[in-house]
Amino acid sequence: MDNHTMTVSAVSPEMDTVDELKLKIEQLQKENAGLRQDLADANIEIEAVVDEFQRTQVEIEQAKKDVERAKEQAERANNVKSAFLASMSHELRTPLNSIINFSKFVAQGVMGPVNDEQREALGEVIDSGKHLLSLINDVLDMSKIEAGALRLFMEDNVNVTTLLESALSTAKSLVADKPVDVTLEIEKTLPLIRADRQRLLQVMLNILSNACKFTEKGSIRIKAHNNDDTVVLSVTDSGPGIAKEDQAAVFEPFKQTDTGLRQGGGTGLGMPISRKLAEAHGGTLWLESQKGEGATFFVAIPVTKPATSPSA
Amino acid sequence: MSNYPAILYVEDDARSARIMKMLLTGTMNLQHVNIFEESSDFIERVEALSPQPDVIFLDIHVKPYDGFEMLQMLRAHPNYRNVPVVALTASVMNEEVEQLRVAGFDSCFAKPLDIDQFPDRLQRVLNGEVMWYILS
Ligand SMILES: Nc1ncnc2c1ncn2[C@@H]1O[C@H](COP(=O)(O)OP(=O)(O)O)[C@@H](O)[C@H]1O
Ligand SMILES: [Mg+2]
Repeated sequence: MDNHTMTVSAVSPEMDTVDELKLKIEQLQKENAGLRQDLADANIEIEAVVDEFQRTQVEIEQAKKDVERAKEQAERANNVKSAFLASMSHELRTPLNSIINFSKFVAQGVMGPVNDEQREALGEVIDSGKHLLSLINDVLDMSKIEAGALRLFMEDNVNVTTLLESALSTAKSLVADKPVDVTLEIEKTLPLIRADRQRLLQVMLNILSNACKFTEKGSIRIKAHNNDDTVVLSVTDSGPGIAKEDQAAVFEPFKQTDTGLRQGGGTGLGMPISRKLAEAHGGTLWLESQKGEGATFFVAIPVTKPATSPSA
Repeated sequence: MSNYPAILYVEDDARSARIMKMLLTGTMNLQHVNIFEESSDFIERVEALSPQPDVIFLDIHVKPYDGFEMLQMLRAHPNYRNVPVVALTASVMNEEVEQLRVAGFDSCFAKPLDIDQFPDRLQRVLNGEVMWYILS
């Protein structure tokens, strides 16, 4: 309707004007009809779009339900796996209670005199039983991690000092028969952290048991300090160290370096599990070492402030 | 409490029961040790004990009442509300230990039992300490 300027002719203006007006009206009516058609078309299109939109919405709802169902299924599967691993643990630990402890009683002479040779053989049974126990614990932990069934029990206000003091006393008992000095050095202003106490202790004991196992003389230094809202725990030993090219393998399941293999007794699961546990805390675990120069293992755990809302 | 603390242990696994008995009456020479091999009439049998227990160890998978149910009965009883109750169990995965903690057990000792550490730990439980020895 852009052309609405009327041309007024000088000759017989009335007739012309009427005709022209008629024409114009017809034209306008036509245009109007066209517009109505356009409008109707547009309406149909809008309806189609609305239709499409509604269909999409239904599809989204359906997809949401599918995701929900898949999630529930995965959770159920994980619960089954968790329950299976828990019952495995129970079933394996119960006979070990008998194997280890009856052997101990006999070795102690509770059931009559035993000679040195017998006591030594019983000692082997006890050590093997304990080794089997740590293997079971590690294999079950690793299975849990790989099944995605690992759950942390996070607590606020975990005291790292108390935790390291208990780890220190365990470490001291592990090197009691070697000229190795174990020390603990904790920064005074260390904050309380949010962590799974038991699991964090497990990580530190894994690192310390390696340090104690591989260090024949010298020192093992446990340290803790706060760095930018991250608590960094470290264990430095004066043992054989780990060559650069072997360092990645330390964190791979069932891998042991030559040092580890020579020593015997390990599973090669301690460090992979520990790294996963540190990561589950939102933290990291790494090592710094040079062959022949000892090793330092670091664990960094973020100091997450206790949540103010009860929802977390 | 005399020099000899009175101990009750509920355990349906005969071998585990025997180990505890050898440890408590043999190695530790304790005089008042009672072991229930199942949990029927639980509270009535606890009430009938003389002397009354100073500490109670409960296995969890016991019939007819499991460890959690026995704990509830004890906590609901005026005489046993404050007696230390220790779970002694082979079920020591994180979730399970968390359940014990939430249920209100005072401590948890893992099976295999560390019989070398046991005398010291028992003393600490009797002194009111809370311990969760689940790594051993
Ligand atoms: N402090 C250390 N000094 C030297 N080597 C180490 C040290 N800690 C770990 N390792 C190496 O890393 C390997 C993996 O350690 P880990 O996962 O704890 O397994 P395990 O202790 O069962 O052998 C060990 O076998 C050893 O070769
Ligand atoms: Mg190790």
